[in-house]
Amino acid sequence: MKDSASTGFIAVRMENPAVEIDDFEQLVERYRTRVLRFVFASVRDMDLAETLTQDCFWRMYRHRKAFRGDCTIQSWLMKIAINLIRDHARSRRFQFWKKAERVQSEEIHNWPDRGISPEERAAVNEQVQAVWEATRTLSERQRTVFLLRYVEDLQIGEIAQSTGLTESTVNVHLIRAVRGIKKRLGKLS
Amino acid sequence: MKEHFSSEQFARCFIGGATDDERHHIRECSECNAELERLEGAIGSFRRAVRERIEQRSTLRPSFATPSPFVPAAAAKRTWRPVMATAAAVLLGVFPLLMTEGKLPGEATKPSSYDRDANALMDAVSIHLSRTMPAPMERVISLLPQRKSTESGGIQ
Repeated sequence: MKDSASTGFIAVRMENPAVEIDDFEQLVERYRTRVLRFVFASVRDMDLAETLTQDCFWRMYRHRKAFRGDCTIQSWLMKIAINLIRDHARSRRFQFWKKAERVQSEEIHNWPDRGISPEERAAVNEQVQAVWEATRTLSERQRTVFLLRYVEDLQIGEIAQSTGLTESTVNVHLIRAVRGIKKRLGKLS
Repeated sequence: MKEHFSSEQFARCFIGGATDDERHHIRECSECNAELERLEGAIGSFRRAVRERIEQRSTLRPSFATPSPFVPAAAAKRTWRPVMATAAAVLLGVFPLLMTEGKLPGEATKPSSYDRDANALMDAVSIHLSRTMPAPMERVISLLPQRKSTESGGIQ
């Protein structure tokens, strides 16, 4: 596995994973923002993202004994998060959620972007919105792979661990995702 | 490579999987280069925007960054379950008792029929005990001619 120190992620292959996981509060502090970011970008709602993030850590805590340490904690957490998002997408709650999506998507309209002119900011906002909308139109796997790579800065190997796909399959999904987003941006221009 | 990139080639270049020819083309073709930069810029802005959104949230809710004590949402939901179950059990147990207690005073307002019955029963018992012969015999005895008590051996 490649070292992902450049991304700020501590890719530790633990000698004794159970001991590491026992320090649970520290783990939450270290990984919660990352998990929340990924979940938020996936479900597009902050409150829901926080709930799912908490569930993610709760599930991790319950199954901490089963962690064998054959992947990084971040990969494991992301795997749990992906499953939770998938479960949620299949639940009835999500059907209701989809109906209300228009209202909740307002939350992402005003992206903060400091130090640029209003015109530039409007242009950036438009681009951000286009990418945001494009991620919605992607398939679940394409979106997951794309967000893990370009929001969370995970390496292809880590994405493969988190998703249970091979690296070549991750690459294929990533290319399709970027194509979809470029298509959307093309329409915009 | 003289033609401009297809969307797949752009995507491959973007994720870092370009061939040597494609890399060469990107360096040479200003149009494709600008297009790739535009794509990179848009995705970079998106990435930054998501990160800033999360930072904003953490600033608004500082406790979020360092949760202490950690209470998972699922756990919080589960802690309510036994509480709710206990409350329901208590209600189910206490409610019939309250209802029973509520009934007793109600019944206390109308014990007269019961008392009446009890008095009637006691009267009947008294009459029965005061009889000198069994009740079925009374009618037969009344048909017999009356004799002097000395002759009847004390039978009245």
